[in-house]
Amino acid sequence: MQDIKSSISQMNALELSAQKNTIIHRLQAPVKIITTVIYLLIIISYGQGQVSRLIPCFFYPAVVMALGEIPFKTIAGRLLIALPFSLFAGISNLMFSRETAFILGGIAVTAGMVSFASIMLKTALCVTAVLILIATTDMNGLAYGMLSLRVPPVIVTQIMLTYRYIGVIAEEASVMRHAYLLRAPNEKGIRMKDMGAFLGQLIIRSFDRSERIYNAMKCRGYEGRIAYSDREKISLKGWAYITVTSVFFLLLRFVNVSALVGSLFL
Amino acid sequence: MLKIESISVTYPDGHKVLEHLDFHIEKGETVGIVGTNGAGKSTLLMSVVGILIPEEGRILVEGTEVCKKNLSEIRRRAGVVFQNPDDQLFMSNVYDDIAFGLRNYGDSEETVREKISGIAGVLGIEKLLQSHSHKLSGGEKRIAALASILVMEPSLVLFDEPTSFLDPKTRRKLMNFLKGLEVTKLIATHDLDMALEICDRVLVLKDGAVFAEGRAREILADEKLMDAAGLELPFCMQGIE
Ligand SMILES: Nc1ncnc2c1ncn2[C@@H]1O[C@H](COP(=O)(O)OP(=O)(O)OP(=O)(O)O)[C@@H](O)[C@H]1O
Ligand SMILES: [Mg+2]
Repeated sequence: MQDIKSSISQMNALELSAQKNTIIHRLQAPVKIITTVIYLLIIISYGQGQVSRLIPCFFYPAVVMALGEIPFKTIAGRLLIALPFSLFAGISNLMFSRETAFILGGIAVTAGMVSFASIMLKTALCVTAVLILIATTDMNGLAYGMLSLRVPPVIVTQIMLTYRYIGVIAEEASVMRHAYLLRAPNEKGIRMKDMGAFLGQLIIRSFDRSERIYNAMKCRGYEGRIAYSDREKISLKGWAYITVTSVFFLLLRFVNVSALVGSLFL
Repeated sequence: MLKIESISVTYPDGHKVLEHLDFHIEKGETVGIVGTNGAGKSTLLMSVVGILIPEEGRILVEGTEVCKKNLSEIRRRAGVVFQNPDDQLFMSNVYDDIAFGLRNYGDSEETVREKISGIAGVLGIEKLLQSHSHKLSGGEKRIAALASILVMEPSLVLFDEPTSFLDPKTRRKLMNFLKGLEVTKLIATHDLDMALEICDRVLVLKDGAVFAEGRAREILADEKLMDAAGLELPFCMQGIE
């Protein structure tokens, strides 16, 4: 709650970096979307025990971040928001699968620890890939990219509106929090006993605000789907990018790169 | 131009706000709507563009009735500048925001570009086009919101409190702009001095009905009438004695 303003500005930081002009930014939106989806599918397909096999997969986000001049800090900040969720999923593994998987430096590593690590790694990889997509493609580009990939307009519009409403709720929350703290100078945050009223009010206000925004949209001819700029076909260069990255992902997936690199030095 | 024939509007929660309201505006007129908080000004504007549909009476914009099947046509002709520009700007940058309506009505990207550069020139906001909507100052937001409506070349523009949040200089600039703007205007406002200066006619609303109507100079100067409507004289008429 403390940092609503800063999370709004983080959201903006990500959007702002989408305005840059680098090799990655210049790629067509659908190309980036397809590549990201393939990457996600590959990551998800790894088994629970394949921790060491996942590590080389960081190569792709690292390269794209470097080429796209995306500040590491921006991505890391957002990543930290997502990790706690998978932490909960991962912890249950720690508790339930206690049988020893292997011994590392005299410590018994349980199967639970291995799958915990792989869940965390997978989350980190997937979230990073999506964040990079957002940081290199502006929201309209994404929307239009999804449309040209034949994602139904209704769904695209939902995603766009959800994105917009997150901003609305955050803004309302920040205004209300200021109003609260100005009249409760001794409090650091919102007192637990006021939290119910605060959240209730926040929801009502956000609904009201969303309703007004929706009305304003209708006044300008909005009829359930946002109209976007012209669609273009994926260029030859785009297909080339998709092919090269996909082949690379498949290599990572089916060739044990860490073992290969290891064997080169042994 | 705009004909409102005995409309009554009730909110879904049963709150009856307008009752048998009747009036019309001629082409090219600038008409002010004044009235206390809660008199029903915003409600009236929302009914004209069909966000609220009156349960009685009817509204005609250039002869076209405001009803479900005509909404798209009505909204192309009548634009609303909202009370709070934050509600109006929702795309990530100003350019896309101004383009929103045009794209909805199927204009090509080239036309969109031309029209936006035109309106940006008129309003002097070329520099803001690539800015983030929520990083603008209150006054800049208002101008951006205005641009997003005017770019659609409506023949009737409805304004809800256009001068709120503006500093005196920006307010003055906006007023001069409105004076020169050759479309039919309906302006809901508490800024009586502005109404006096730029409106040909005013409509005084009280409890959801027309309380008085007439030439701006006559109505706004009538101390008894204004008092009865719960309002005061414009500052410039209060005199310093
Ligand atoms: N969404 C709503 N649901 C129910 N009642 C509403 C709603 N919006 C407004 N009202 C009520 O309708 C009446 C008229 O509101 P309206 O917003 O039209 O007034 P207004 O003349 O624009 O006032 P202001 O000068 O304060 O903007 C008020 O009594 C208000 O409480
Ligand atoms: Mg109002």
